[in-house]
Amino acid sequence: MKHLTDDAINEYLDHELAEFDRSSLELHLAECAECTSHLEVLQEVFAQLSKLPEASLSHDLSSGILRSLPQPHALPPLIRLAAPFQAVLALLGLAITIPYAYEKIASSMTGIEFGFSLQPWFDLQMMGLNWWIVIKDFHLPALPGFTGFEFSDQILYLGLLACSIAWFIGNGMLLKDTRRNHP
Amino acid sequence: MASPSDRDLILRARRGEMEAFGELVLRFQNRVFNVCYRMTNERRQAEDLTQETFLRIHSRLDTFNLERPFGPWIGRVAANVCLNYLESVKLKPSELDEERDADENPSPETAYENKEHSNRIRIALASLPARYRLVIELRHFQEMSYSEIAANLGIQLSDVKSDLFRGRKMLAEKLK
Ligand SMILES: [Zn+2]
Repeated sequence: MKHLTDDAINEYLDHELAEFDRSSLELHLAECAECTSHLEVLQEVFAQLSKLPEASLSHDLSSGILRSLPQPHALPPLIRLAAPFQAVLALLGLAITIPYAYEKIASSMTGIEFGFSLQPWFDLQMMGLNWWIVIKDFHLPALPGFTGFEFSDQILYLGLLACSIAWFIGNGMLLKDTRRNHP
Repeated sequence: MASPSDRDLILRARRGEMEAFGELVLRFQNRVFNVCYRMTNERRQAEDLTQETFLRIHSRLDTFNLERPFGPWIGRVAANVCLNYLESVKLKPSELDEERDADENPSPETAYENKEHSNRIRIALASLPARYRLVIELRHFQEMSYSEIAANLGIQLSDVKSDLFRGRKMLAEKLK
């Protein structure tokens, strides 16, 4: 009688045998004490392993693990300043546009008195405009071979465009950073 | 509020949320620790390897397939981390025995285990060559099939079988 191989017995216990092999192996086991005792030795190993209790950690490892993780890099401080800087710009923008808007509304609705005067605001605006004219007319001292540099409206627009792009990028980074660190 | 699913936590951890990863660690640290403890039979070492496992999990979180359960995946990662460690130190069984004797810091819970019995198995396991220990861990404790083990370790199916069967034979002799 040909005895079962170790491989066959192992595969049988691991449920890795095809149904046909399984039945013929069981037939052999039913009439062979030697192979049955081999099987029982292995079954005992299976049983011992499954009886091994779970050990418990003596302390929580999570804080140590979190500390040792690579920290998400912080944004450069310049970008962190973007938020207050934007607030200042927004206030400035409001200060510039509100008198215009007021004037527009007041002129389109004759007969309605607002009951308050924006004169100080207009004065401020005028001051700002004067500043812009001064800046616009400012010429860098001419150097030999260099005709000087003129601030034009185009330069203003280009400057505004650059600011807007910086605004979008800066805000995007801030937003991403906030989502990352403060769910 | 219901606690978030593993999947939610993984997604949030992938976005870099430390808190979410911390919650995953809390959920799975004992499981990982048990893999490492079975593989090394040394508590302090198992704790270090648990930490290392979570570092590896964190760096590979993007490769995890969300359709599959998280627990078995990290069990496999832990087993691999332990194998790398055991291979790197090339611990001989005799050295392991000494280390185990030096392990005088069992948790109070071990008092409730059938200590005599589990120690016997742990010692027997730890005395096996690392390769055998690994396949036994993957087959018996991570409940992987032969082909899953072969794919996971990148070895031949026949090698999985021969390592596993030899490992069991050695265990049987040691547990006699
Ligand atoms: Zn037989």
